[in-house]
Amino acid sequence: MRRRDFLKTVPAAAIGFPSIVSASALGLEGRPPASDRIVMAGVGFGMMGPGNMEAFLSKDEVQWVAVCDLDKNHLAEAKAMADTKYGNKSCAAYTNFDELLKRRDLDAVSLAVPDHWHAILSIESARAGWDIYGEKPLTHSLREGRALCDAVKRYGRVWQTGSWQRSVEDFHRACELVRNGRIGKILKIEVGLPEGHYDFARTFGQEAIVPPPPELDYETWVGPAPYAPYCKARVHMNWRWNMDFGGGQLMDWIGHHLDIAHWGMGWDLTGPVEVAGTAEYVKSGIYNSPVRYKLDVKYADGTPMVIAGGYPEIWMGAKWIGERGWIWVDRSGFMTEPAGLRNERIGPNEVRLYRSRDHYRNFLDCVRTRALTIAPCEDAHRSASVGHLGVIAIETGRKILWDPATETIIGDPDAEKLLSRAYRKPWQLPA
Amino acid sequence: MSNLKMNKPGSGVLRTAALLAGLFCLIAAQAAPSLDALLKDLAVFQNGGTEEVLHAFRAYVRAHRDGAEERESLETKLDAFLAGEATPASKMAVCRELRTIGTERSVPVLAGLLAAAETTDAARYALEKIPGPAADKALIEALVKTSGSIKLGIIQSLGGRKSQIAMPELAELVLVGDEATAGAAATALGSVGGPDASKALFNLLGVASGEVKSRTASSLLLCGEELLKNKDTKAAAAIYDRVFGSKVSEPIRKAAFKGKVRASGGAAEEAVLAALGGRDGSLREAALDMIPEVFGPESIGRATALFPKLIPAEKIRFLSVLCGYPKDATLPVIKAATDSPDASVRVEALRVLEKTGDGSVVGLLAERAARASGPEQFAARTSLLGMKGADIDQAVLDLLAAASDEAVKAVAVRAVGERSIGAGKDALISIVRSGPAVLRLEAIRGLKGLAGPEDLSALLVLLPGLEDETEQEEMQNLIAGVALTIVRPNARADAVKSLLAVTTDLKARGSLLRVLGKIGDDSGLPLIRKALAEGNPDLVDAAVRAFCDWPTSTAKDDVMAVARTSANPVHKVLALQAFIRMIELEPYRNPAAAAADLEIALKLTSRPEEKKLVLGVLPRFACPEARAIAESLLNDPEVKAEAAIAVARIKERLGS
Repeated sequence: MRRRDFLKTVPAAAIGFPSIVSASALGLEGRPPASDRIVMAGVGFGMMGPGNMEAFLSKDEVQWVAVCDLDKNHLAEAKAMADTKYGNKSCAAYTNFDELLKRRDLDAVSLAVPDHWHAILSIESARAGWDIYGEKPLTHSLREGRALCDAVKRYGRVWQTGSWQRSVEDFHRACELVRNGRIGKILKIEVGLPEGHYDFARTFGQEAIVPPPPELDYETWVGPAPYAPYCKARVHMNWRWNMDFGGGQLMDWIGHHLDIAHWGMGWDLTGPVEVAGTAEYVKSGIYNSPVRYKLDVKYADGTPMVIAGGYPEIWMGAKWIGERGWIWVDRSGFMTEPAGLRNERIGPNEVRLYRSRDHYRNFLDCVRTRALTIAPCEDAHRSASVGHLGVIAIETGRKILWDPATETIIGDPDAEKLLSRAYRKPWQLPA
Repeated sequence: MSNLKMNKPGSGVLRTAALLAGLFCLIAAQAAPSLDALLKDLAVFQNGGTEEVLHAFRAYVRAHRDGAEERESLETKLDAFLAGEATPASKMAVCRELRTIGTERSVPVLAGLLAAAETTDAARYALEKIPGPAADKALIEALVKTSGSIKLGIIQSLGGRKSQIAMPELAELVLVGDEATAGAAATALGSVGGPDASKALFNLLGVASGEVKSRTASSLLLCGEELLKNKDTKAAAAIYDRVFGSKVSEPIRKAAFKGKVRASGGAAEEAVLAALGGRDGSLREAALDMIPEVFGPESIGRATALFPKLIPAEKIRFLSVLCGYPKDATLPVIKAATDSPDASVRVEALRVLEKTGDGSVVGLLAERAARASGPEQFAARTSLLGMKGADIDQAVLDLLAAASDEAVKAVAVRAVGERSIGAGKDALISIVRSGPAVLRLEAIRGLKGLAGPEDLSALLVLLPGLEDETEQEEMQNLIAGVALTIVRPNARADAVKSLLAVTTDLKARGSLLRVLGKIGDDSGLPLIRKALAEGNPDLVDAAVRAFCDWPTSTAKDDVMAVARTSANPVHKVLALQAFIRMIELEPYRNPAAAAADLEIALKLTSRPEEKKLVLGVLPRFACPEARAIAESLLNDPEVKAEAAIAVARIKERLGS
């Protein structure tokens, strides 16, 4: 039983209520009382973690009690964020996730670690009984995605994926217009993603093998991925450009714009039936994710989709092309043809999609109500699956025939082998 | 080089062609080295060295793995490579390819790599995916020769292969291995699955402890799911009972409870009801999770009967679950919960009415939307606007007609608009015409989603009668918005122009001029110019503001004229700001000409506000003239920061 539940079911006198209780703990100062707060921890503060933590810290009902990171510098910064917020030094700091797992007071965790760690940490979190806010892509391989969805269901956890575009007005409206047939039958979908590699950490070119810095537990950082010696360019933020640790622009963004394309079509719980793809790579250095790529995808109803990075004719974002016009949406804009369509009101008696205007708030609300979030695990898995299948199609050089119901590749044993990844010793996917 | 295109040589260029052909062969030979050459280079590859050889090796394998003979030859050479002297990093590269193309032929050489720390991962990567029992046997044999993390890796691979023949060894390791080994073996057994694995794990649960016990229990849950999938509910129930009683952890106990329920067939409802009515809070949570799976619309009443006994946090969860049920079965409980003494429960009850409510709750929601505050009011409003069904629309209209309380009526007015209830349009127009002030603004706003071009005349007639400035402006916006839906651009202002021609009241004319400005139909410009020329202060004010509202740059000269000549400082400022905005609307213009216009604007003002606007627009017309203008403001203390940014942006765009 967690602290929150314990406090709810046991009379205060029975637990030796302290004689001095802060106003904040009692729910004065506008905050919910401690017994009603959602106790959270965060894991991974190299890129998305700090922003996610900041957003959660801004919610009165959240009590952030712990941070965990393999890099002591990141860890210190994250702890300082929480301590500054609460004006104390109470936030616990862990470099070892197993130690965090021993805590029995957590309700939820926010995970923002490199892709190759997503599945293991997420499933362990679910086993611990924590609800999870996790970054996209859901997992590093398609089979991990299925295992994670099963675990989230098995342990009855609330899951929110960091596919926050679903909680933004323009994306929501665009999808509702598509779902309500405003442009007629959809003839084609275009999903534009970024190309190339971006130097997030300003470490491009720093590929000389050197000893890992003392603040980083590099052995654990590599974790289940194939071992590769430390160099600055391999780790923080830019790990995503190597396919052993991330999935390049394709997998980084598939959980955003493809996810929106799926949402607009009502394909959240299914997937394509055919995926073919081509890609271009740089020919040297440690980054081996595609810099320019194109996937030709087909769904069961025959609708074709193009997913591309580095093809200017495919606009960044999601674009549905229908019999009576088109709808395009991206973070930079929302356009329709005919133009007036953009402002058409969706009536209450039409298809209304799940509505959220604050992705973090939605997660916290669902932690309370146990309802599905706006970006649940299964939806994220189906979005990521298209990217995983694309990577396999590129790798094999063949069109992949996919059965979305059984999640199996049809007639291509080589490709089937690529649905999972090998784990370095001693790592293992938990049940 | 296969896609290198060469022109067919003509008779006069044979020598050149021969040279080119020789060059082609040379390049081709360099671009596509043989496998032997590649492997020779690969053999000395070290992590941290240039990875070009890896890229080339991968490319070679991809190009030669699809034909059966070629594939066999490739595998043979890769096996030979692994048997020879080569760096561990190069062997990893080869094993990664064997993961896809490897067969039982590769197993012996891979088996030889399993026990060594530097090659064990590489060997496992390949062996995990090689079909047939030989790979299983190699891994099993390696178990006894290895220890520590190497052994853990092998256990993991056997689980990944779902190796049934490794069952006895894995089961033994759970019993005799150290904690890490036993835990890994327990997890692997869960992956292997099947009756034997279930049986082994079942027996182990009783003797294991700590982390091993926890891993064993999780694996058993996995086995239980598999059994349920195969409809073996009896075996599944036995597993779940055992795990449930094992006291491993609350999450696992709850998961086991759910499994028990799923396996209990016809007794599922009783199991959930017993938990829901029991004293165990943890099980009540699990029971709530199971309600959608267990109770149908016909039986959900059995569960809702227990609703009053739950604590508030559980009531909130229960209400959320009820969203998925037909309203007949759940509405009484939800309605009652809207009067809960706990505010969070009330909010949740109001929220779920969006999915479960019918016409009977419209009054309740309107009342709360009008009277409550904070989350409760928001939830009531959201549900009122979001409930589906024609009966809801009719209930809203009935409420609009019958409500005597103005606050409630205002909510109904808003709902008519937000829900786009076409049958309520006349009622809203009537409220604008003769309703109380507190409802008029809401009615005007509501009409935005309802009125069409056919209503323009009626709306225009109402415009002069509105005294309140906000109502006037909202009505002008409404009329302009409706006019803009007319397909022919030069017909959009027709109704306004016609009325303007016969209107003498100055205030009414001013209001109509403002509407013309918001519509932006160019055929209306002469009327505005005429009004400006009349000189009446009210009309001049309306005309200037109409020019300034103009949505395109057609009125640019008009606003410039006002900016230059008006004696009214407010008009000068408004006109100048509109002028700068309209320059920005012409991105296709010659940059130097646009910059010259912006310079004119600068000369007409001494205020930092307009200078900042100019500096914001200048970079869009990057040219030396624009840069000079921006640089001229670098020493202006009020705008020097904006000037510096503008200069930097212009330089960036000019590439200087």
